[in-house]
This record gives sequence, structure tokens and C-alpha cells, in this order.
Amino acid sequence: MTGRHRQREIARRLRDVPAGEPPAALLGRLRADVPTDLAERLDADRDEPAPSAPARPLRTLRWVPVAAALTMLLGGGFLVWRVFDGVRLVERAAPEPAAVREAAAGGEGAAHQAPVTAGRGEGDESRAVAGDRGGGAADLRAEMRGSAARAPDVSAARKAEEPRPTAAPPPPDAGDADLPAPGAEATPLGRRETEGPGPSAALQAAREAKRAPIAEPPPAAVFAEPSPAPPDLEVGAEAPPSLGEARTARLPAVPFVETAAARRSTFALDVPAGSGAERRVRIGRTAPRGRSFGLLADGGPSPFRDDPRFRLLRFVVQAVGPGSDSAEEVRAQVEIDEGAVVRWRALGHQSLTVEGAIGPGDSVTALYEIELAEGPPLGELASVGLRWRDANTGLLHEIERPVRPGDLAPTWDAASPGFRLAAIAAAFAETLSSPSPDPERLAELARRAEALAEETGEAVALARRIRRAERLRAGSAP
Amino acid sequence: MATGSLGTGSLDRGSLADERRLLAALRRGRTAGRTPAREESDAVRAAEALLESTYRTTYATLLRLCGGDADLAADLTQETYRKAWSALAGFDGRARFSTWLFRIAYTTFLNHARRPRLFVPAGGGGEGDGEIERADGASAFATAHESPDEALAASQDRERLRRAVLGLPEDLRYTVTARFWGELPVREIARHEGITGAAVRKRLRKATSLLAAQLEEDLR
Repeated sequence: MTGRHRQREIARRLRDVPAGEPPAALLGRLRADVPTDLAERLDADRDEPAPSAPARPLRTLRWVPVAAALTMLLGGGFLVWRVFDGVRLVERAAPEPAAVREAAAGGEGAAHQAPVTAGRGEGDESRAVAGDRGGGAADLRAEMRGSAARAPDVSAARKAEEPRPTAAPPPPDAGDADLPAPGAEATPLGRRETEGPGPSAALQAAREAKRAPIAEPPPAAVFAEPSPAPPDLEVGAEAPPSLGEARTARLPAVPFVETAAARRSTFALDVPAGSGAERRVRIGRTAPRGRSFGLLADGGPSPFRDDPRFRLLRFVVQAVGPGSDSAEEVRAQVEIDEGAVVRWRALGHQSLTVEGAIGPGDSVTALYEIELAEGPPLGELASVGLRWRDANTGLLHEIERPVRPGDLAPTWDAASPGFRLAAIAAAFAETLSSPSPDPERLAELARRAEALAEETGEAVALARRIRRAERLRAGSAP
Repeated sequence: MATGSLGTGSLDRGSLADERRLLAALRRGRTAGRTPAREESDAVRAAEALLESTYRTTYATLLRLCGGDADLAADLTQETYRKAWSALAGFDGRARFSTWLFRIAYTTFLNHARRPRLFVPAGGGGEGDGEIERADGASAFATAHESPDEALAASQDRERLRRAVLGLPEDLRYTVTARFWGELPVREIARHEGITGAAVRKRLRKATSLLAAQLEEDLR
């Protein structure tokens, strides 16, 4: 029997499976289930404004993953985590041999001074320090946890200075497994001194924020800009190794991509299928009805360069609505307009999620830097689309949000606090990724962050970090 | 059959124009001169008319997926429509209502099949993949055959085929069940899935080829 013949035979057998008549009582049961307030429900959904721009059917896009852009996103993402790790990076950028030798000779006391984020491609200095102990990054972390248990607890003093969340912290979750134990923070730049370890205040704040209960979602009719809380980029124990490595790897400067060559960039809100660490995204369906996700898009001047042609775009995907329903295959895709944008680069994306799930109030922020084409921009600059599948019904949902020139703030000060915070954090992370961070650049970022800190408390920790990095860098510069 | 101002009358099964008319009536907003009660009444009648035009096909699809278990198919049909009414606001009209409904029914079946079983029936569990398994390995379809042996053999063949279909990769499984058991046209499947008709046909060819190979291997 030939292949085609077999296929036809199979098709015939499939069609021949009997259909059967439904039971006589079934129609009555189904009729009884028709909601009596159906019109009211449909009206309520119709009256609800869209969480962002008016929803429009997603254009038929080919969700062709841009492998290179996705790799850059994963490798260059988690920007704000890098902010709170910034001091350790600055230290490694200009180690002082004498201090290193002193630290190595310090034995146990210096163990928890070494950087904790010695991951793939970085941490040579830490390995040099830990070399005597014959350990790599994992050994270093394990050693620091042990040292931290014995180190004096100076973290309490620092904690007292920080605003504490009012919510009672829930039990620790697996996501903290990779966090360094309190007291195991790296020392200031280039000096392996025992000035008193303590947890990174921002890191501690991030941990506390992560443990705080999820705030109630915004009212149905309003899609509020997500609170730029201290980011937590911890990925749970189920995360694939690549994400964990990206979290700790040194970040190279992300190169630009010509729009003519590639104009789509995709990032996922859940772990990619087939990675062996799939994670269900839980979103609500009750309030607002039918609105599971919201999209926010804005932008403003790029803090990376003083050129008016360059802009920074921010996209925020926020889960709204409580409940226990699940969304699967959640994917966001950004499409850059070739006529309006000459080239672009994806700086990365950062999640504010609770371990194991994206719940109401959680959000994912992605940043893109674009170079505008000459002449006044017409039409859209870009658009972000979100697609997910409802696990209960199997139905695909899609929403799209365009970015128009009018969505971009004309000046830095006119941009939203959330945008400015994300932009500063991204610029700080990229500055620190350089082998020799520019002190003037750090000073500029510190100035911006301090100005922002006067508007929003979320920028206080960032400003303090940048200023500290700037001082350390200036102090260690030849 | 529901009648009234909507003029539903009797519907041809799968009549696109009727379906659109009913959907428009169902989703019509409040209009001047119509009381909320009248609005609800019209909406309910439109929903019932849609129900009557689609429930046989939905039930038939689920019956095939369930291997002939009539009670289970009826329960899943009821669950399907409950979900459909809840999700109706999200129906954007890109594909037909029946296509949209098939997806809900299909997912309802899969969710049921994946539910952990608290009780494993004697004579075979079906616990591993959540499949519904009968003690004699045959499907529940009763067909007229010349002899009981032939009837049993035919039903066992169908059960093997059903299991093979349910063992396909998700994209192929959905396409095969939508085409052959949901009786959806290729263009509707393509429209709903956001792919081309050629891609649908390609999936069907691949699926039938895999099924043929699987069934041959089962017989060895």
C-alpha cells in the first residue's frame, strides 16, 4: 500500500468514526445553562475601556523569533538586578592587586567579601581570590553562606535605615536559593577589607518587596502604570539554567540592529516550552472581566547618548485581575517600524513576578533604544503585541499597543517616573558592564537618579547605589 | 425552536448568515426604546438558537474524542457551553462561532483527560495519560455488524485509531480532530489558527502519515 493510499485510508477511517445522536435530555440541560443576564455581561465587557490603546486585531504577524535579539535579551536582560549588583561590578573593574592579596591572605574573614555573582564569563578576580580555596563560583557562594552565618550581623543596622514594607513577609521561597546569604556582600571597589559585610540594602529591599503580598490590581477602568518597585529578577528553582546564567553573566553592550535587516523582537513571559522548566502563568479573569493583561508603552530621550535622534522605548506587560485561571504560551512581540526607525537594540527585559507565577499586579518591562530616521516621524514607531492561550478554553487571545511619536516624552523631565527609573537603571547597568566605567557617566546618572528620588521613593536606593559607584570609581581612577 | 422578534425560526446547520445574525442580536447593545428585560430576553433567545444550531456537532465531536462514552460526552458538552457563555465577550468574529466553539470543546476534553484520577478502574487504568480506557480495549461505539466478533474487532480498531490520534503532537492532533471529528473546513481551521490553508493540509498529511505508521506498528 503506497503512502498516499494509506493516508487516504486513515482519513476514511477517521471520518467513519460514528457521531451518534445526543441524549434527548441534553438540550434541556444546555438551555438551562444559558445565562439569563447574558446581555448585561456582554454590555459590561463592551463598556470597559481597553487597558491601553484601543484594542485592535493583531495583524497577521509571523511570530518569527529573532534568535539573535532573543539571545541579547536574555544575556543583556535583568538590568535592574545589575543595578543592585553594580558596586561589585565596579570593584572588579579596577581591582587593586594589593587589596586582592590582602583579601586572599585574610582567610575566612575575606571569604564573604568576594563577589557573589561569579557566573559564566566573569568573576576572574573572585576566582583568583577563591583560587587558594580551590573553588569556583558555586564553592564561593557556599563558602560565603557559611561565613555569613559566622559573620557579625551588621545588616540590622542597615535595615533600620531602610523603609520597611508593612506587610508581613511570607515564608521564604525557592527563589532565594541563589541569593547570597545576608552578610555575604562584596566589599567596595578594589578593597577586600573587612569593613563590615552586610547585605546590599537594595538587594535586601528587593527580597522584602518580593515577599510582600501582591497588591490589589488597579480598578477595571484604569490601567495604571506599574509601580516601579525594587526589581526582583530571581528566577525560581525551576528556571532553566540559561536564565540563571544570564542573570549572573557580565553584560556586554548590546549592539544595534538595522531595522531593514530585522524588525521584530520577541520575549516570553514564561519559560519557553520544552525547556523542562515550564511554568504556568496564572492570571485572573474576574475583575476586570476578560482583561487578563494590559499593555503600556511610552518613551523618552535616551539616557545613553546626547543625541535627539535616539529615544528609549519602554513596554510594560502587566497581569491584571485576581483569580486562579491560567494563561499559557504567553509571548510578547515588538515590531519596529522600518520607515520611522533606522536601527534599534533590545536592552533587555525585567520581570516583577512572584516565584512560580505571574500574578495580578506583576509586570514585565522591556526596553528598546531606537534611532529615528531623519525628518519628522509619521505614523507609528513601533508596536508591541501580546498573545496568550487560555488554558481553560484553549482560546488564543491577542492584544496590541502601538507606539506613536506622541507617546514619547519630549524631554527627560517630562517622561514618567517609571520610565526614567527604568532608563537610568538600564544605563547604569550598561555603564557598569564596561571594563572601565566612565566616572563622568556615573556622575551624570547619579545626578538624574537623585533628581528622580525627589519625586519617587523607588529611586532612592538606585540613586544611592549609583552615587556610591561613582565615588568608588572616582576614588580608584588613576 | 426559539422564535420571536429575532425571527430565528429553524436554522440550517452551519448557516453562516444565520450565525452572524444571531451573534449580532446577541451582542447588540442597549437601544432606545428597549427595556433591559427585553434585551435579556432577546439575548437569551439568540443564545438558545445558537445552541440548537451547534450542540449536535459539539456533542458528536466530544463523543468521538471520548471513544463513544455518551455520558461523558454529554457532561463535557455542557461544560463546553458554560465556558463559551463566559468567554463570549472575547469572541472577535475572526473565525466562525462553530470553529471557536470547537476549540473550547477540544480543550475541555483535554483538560478532562489530564485531570488526575482518584480512582483507577480495575482492568486497566488509563492513569498514565489520562485516557479513558475500557476493560475490553474496545470503544463504546455500537455499530451494526454481521457478527459480534466483527463488531468487537471494528470497535477495537476505532479505539486504536482514537488513541493514536490523541498521541499525536498537539498541532497535528488539533488539526486532525478539527477536520475529521469537528467537521471544520480547512479554511476555518487556518483562519482560527492564524496559518495558511496549505499549512493545514500539510499538517493533515503529516498526521495521517504518522497515524498510518503508528497503527501498522500496533498491529505487529
